[in-house]
This record gives sequence, C-alpha cells and structure tokens, in this order.
Amino acid sequence: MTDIGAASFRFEPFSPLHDKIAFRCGQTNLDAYFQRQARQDVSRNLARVYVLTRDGKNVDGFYTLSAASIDPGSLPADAARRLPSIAIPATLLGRMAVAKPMQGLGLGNFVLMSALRMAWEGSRVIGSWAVVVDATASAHTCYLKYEFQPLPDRPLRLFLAMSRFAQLLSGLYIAE
Amino acid sequence: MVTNPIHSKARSQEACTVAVAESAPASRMDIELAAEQAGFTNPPSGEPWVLTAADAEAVIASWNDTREPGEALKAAYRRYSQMIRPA
Repeated sequence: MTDIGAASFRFEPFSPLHDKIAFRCGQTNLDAYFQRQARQDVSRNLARVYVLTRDGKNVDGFYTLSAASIDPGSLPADAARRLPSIAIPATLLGRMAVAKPMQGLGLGNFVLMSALRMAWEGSRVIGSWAVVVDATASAHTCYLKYEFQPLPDRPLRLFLAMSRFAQLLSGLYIAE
Repeated sequence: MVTNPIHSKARSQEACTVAVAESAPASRMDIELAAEQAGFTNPPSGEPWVLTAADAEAVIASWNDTREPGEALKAAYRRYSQMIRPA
C-alpha cells in the first residue's frame, strides 16, 4: 500500500507534462473525460483542470473548476434572503476523481480541499458566491459532511458559500 | 473533548495499522482525522498510526457524535495543509 504520509503530493494545473492516458479511476465517463476532453476544455477556457501528482507526470487525481451561476430562487430561503434577485455567480466543481490504485487512502479529501481552496482564491479576483457541485448519490453524504447544502428542489446539487468556507478556516489556515 | 478509548494501547499493535485501512468503515484519512480530533499525537511523517480497526471505529463513532458543525471541514483542511506541498 502507498504510504501517503511519506509521499510528496502537490497539485498542478493540468499540462502536456502529465500522463493523461494512464489515468484510471474506475468510472468510464470520468476516465474518458480526462483522457480525451479535459485538455480541450482547458485550451478553450471552458474549465481549469488541476491534477494531484507526486512526480509531475503520473496523475493520482484531478478536479475541474468552471464559472457558473445559481438561480437565487433555487436556494434555501435563508440563503436567498441575503442575495439579489439576479443570477448569483458561483464556481462549479464539475468533475473530481482519484486514480484507482490510490483510492481508499483519503486522497479524495485532498482533492476536494484543494478545489475549495482554489475556488476561494479565485473568488478573491472575480466574485463567486459559492462552490457548486452535482453529486452522485453515493458522494452526497460526503459533501454534507463538509458543510455543503443541497438545493431544496434539486438535492444532488449542493453548494458551499465562500463566506462559510472562509469563516470556518479564517485565522487558522487562510487569510480573510 | 472526546474520551480517548485507545490511549494506552501499546505499540505492539503496529501490525494492525494495515487492518485499519483494509477493514475499517472509513478511509485511513478519515480515521487519522478522527484520531487527531480525539487527542492522539500525530506520528512523524511516514510513521504508522497504532489503531486496530475496532479502535478506529470507536474513535470515529465518538467523533461523529460530538463534533461541532464545521469540524470535519476544518480537520480535513488542516490535514490537506499538512500533506500537500505548495505548487
């Protein structure tokens, strides 16, 4: 088993230096996306893709971030009350995966935390009210554990307000 | 603070650390987060945690029962900050 305590992980923007062909997470659609479409999405500015790697070549995981918007009418009443009645800017965490040999080690947490951190940093440059994800049924509980809230009429779409993320981590790990 | 149920376990259980990852009802990362939260000292990088699968389950159950909102995110982010090298 890989000893993640001794490994030296880092996240990098997806580039031609990374081996996209060897990546397998076990979900055909995610593997196909990463191998065939991710780089195109980056070059067309449709998404930013970040990879988790130990050596700058082999990919242990990845995630994608894109601009998105939320209809304030779809939000829980207590969240919508403080927002204008226009499309609310957000950051979509579109895809997220961990390579099959590295699953079960908790790297999914790293991938999610990096995505949240990156989305938060982006929101300091271009306003974004929340991170949005479309969860699978099996991942839904995990997002709830990390403070995401479901949209009332679309429970598999969840959001985490940037302000909540910053509030939880302020003074500890990120500067407000 | 969670009562530490495996405080005095001896290091002779080191062989059980793989069993934690294999059979416990959570990833090793979650177990480590729970163990940290329960007051265990994080071993030096590369050193194994000394937890049996049953002990890990107990730690996680205790943690799930008592943690405040946001604690899971804080703990996960703290771990991420420790483990990930800045780009």
